[in-house]
Amino acid sequence: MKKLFALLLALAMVFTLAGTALADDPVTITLVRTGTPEVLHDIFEPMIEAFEAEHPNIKVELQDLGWSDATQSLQTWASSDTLPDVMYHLPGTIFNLATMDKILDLTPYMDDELKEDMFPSMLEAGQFEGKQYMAICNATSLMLWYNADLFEQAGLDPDSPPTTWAEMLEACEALSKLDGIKPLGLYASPAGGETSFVFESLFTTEYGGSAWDPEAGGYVYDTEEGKEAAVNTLQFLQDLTAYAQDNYVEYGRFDCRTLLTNGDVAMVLDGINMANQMPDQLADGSMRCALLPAGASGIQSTAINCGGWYIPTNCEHPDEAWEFLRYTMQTENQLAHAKYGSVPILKSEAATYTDGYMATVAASLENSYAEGICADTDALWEVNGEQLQLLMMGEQTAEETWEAISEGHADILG
Amino acid sequence: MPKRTLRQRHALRYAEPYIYLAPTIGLFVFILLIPLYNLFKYSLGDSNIVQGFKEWNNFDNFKYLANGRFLDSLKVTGIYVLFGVLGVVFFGTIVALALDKPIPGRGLFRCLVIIPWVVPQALAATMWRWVLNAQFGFLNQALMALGLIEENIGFLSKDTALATVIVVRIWQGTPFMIMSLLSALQTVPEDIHEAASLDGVNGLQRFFYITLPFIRPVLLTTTVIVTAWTVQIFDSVYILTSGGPARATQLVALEIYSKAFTQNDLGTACAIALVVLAIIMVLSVIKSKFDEEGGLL
Repeated sequence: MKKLFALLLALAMVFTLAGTALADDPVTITLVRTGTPEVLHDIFEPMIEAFEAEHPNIKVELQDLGWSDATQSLQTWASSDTLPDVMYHLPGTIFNLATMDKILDLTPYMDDELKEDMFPSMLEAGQFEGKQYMAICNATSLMLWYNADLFEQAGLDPDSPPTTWAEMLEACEALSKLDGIKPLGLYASPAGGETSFVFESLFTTEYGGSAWDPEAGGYVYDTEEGKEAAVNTLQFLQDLTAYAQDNYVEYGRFDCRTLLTNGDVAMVLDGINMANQMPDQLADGSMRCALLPAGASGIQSTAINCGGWYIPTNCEHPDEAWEFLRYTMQTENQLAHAKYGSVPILKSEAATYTDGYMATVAASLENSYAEGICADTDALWEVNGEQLQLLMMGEQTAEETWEAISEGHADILG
Repeated sequence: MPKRTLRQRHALRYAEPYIYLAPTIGLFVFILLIPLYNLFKYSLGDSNIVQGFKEWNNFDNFKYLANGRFLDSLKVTGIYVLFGVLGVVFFGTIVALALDKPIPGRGLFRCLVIIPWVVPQALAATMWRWVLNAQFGFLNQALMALGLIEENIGFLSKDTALATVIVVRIWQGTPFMIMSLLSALQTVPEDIHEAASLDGVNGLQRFFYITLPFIRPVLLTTTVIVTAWTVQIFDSVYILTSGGPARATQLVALEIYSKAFTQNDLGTACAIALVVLAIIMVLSVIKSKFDEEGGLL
């Protein structure tokens, strides 16, 4: 009896110790922030260190993933339910995975403080079918970036950049008189929805509202309601090609950044990432940015192209994952993250920019709309990219382009 | 050890080859039959990369094979394969014949010509992209410096992109043809050439009446292999043009990728892949015929 009692006591002690050990074992969550690892490590390693100091029960393991094979990796992980606990990616792919129940709805986690601090367009950009699947943490608006010296040489006032489409065409005409440069850097390569973003942003300024109807779950510009504004926008895009560099159909957004910084073109429509290409010129004022010129609505608005955090349903520690995700969304951490290239996501973040180009960028968010994202976004953008390319090459009219886009979208969405 | 009965010995002898073949059969099933089974299965229903086969859809995926977009990509692929393979055969034969001559530095040249073949296609395509860049590309700058052009050429614009990717295919595929033909040329007896020379036969006649009949089996087999490879080309064209501009270089392989990964329609991607599989199978049968008969022509 004594032996049995001793044995039971020993077993009880072993289990207690094991239990204590298990309880003290920190939970490890895996983090993947898609992008350039060497830049991201500098941003996230100090953030993780500070977080772990505050939360000794949670360890964060940062893993690298470049953009080149990100979507394929993500789909492979999703098919085997091995998605990382917290990951950054683009809404189109994530909403598609959400339709397969692979993504956690973050609605119960989103606190009022965060929701009120986020720009409405940023909050909406993470929503799909009424659920908050993503917390947007990186975004860009479309801006007009221009060379102030070339503006002066062309007799234009660099302090008064074009505010309407008509003024922009006038500026193009004036800049076209300069030798050795082209007024505008245009990109017509359809990769990654680049041209779709330009079209959708310009459409918002013509239409006076979002390019996306969340109620209908579709774009406005491919409907009869949005047709007139869409055709006008397409016509404006085609008009701009007369002032663009040669062979613009071969250019992507990155190529045009080089054209602007080299002084080969005077203006480029691009997102915030342009700023990383010319920090010194932006600081000395030789390069500047302005709000997107407005179409018929007169409102200098923009679509918002974004990416964000999500937690997959295969995450075993969603509370801890959210704990870290929420930590990254604190103002100072979001400011650190924005160095990778982002407009402010939080109003508190925007308030820190009182002058310089970032103040203009922050101002662009006042009239911004979440770019339309659904489960079929990538396929829809592929249609846009192809048709916009044909339009910009002069192969078809604005009206024909609109019809082809509408038909292409209808085929995909059924 | 108990002695085996006659029946056991017969059974073992009968089973022995299958035991030796088992690992190969297992590997064959694992890497070929299972994917092939999945290819058929996914093509028959709504399927995607993440969830695999979802539900039967009445051969809906195969309707795309009659769609104008797919037929256009089939046409582009046809042009790409036809001119790509013709170019490989033409330049491969010329270079192989040149390198078969006792010229100084022949060994070095033979090493140099295989470089395009050993460089990974993705790397080579990225390099070509830089060389052909409309604004900063080496080729435009070189042509400009030589005074041959006054404005940059858009090598990847709508009218030129297909020709450009064909040239890149020829550049990549020619070394294999050269190596194959160089080995075939070793079989041509030198004394026949000498006799022909004494009879006053010119170079072109010697090629068509002496060299070509000897190298024809290898030439035909290699051409079929190069054709099969060219039908499947994806990476270099994807990196160079992504199928554009305006689908001018949208090969069937890129169409499969677009369907599976961009449009998340694995079912249609598999239906298209079955078409490619059928083409490759026809080419395989032709190659087998060549192998068996030492050349059909």
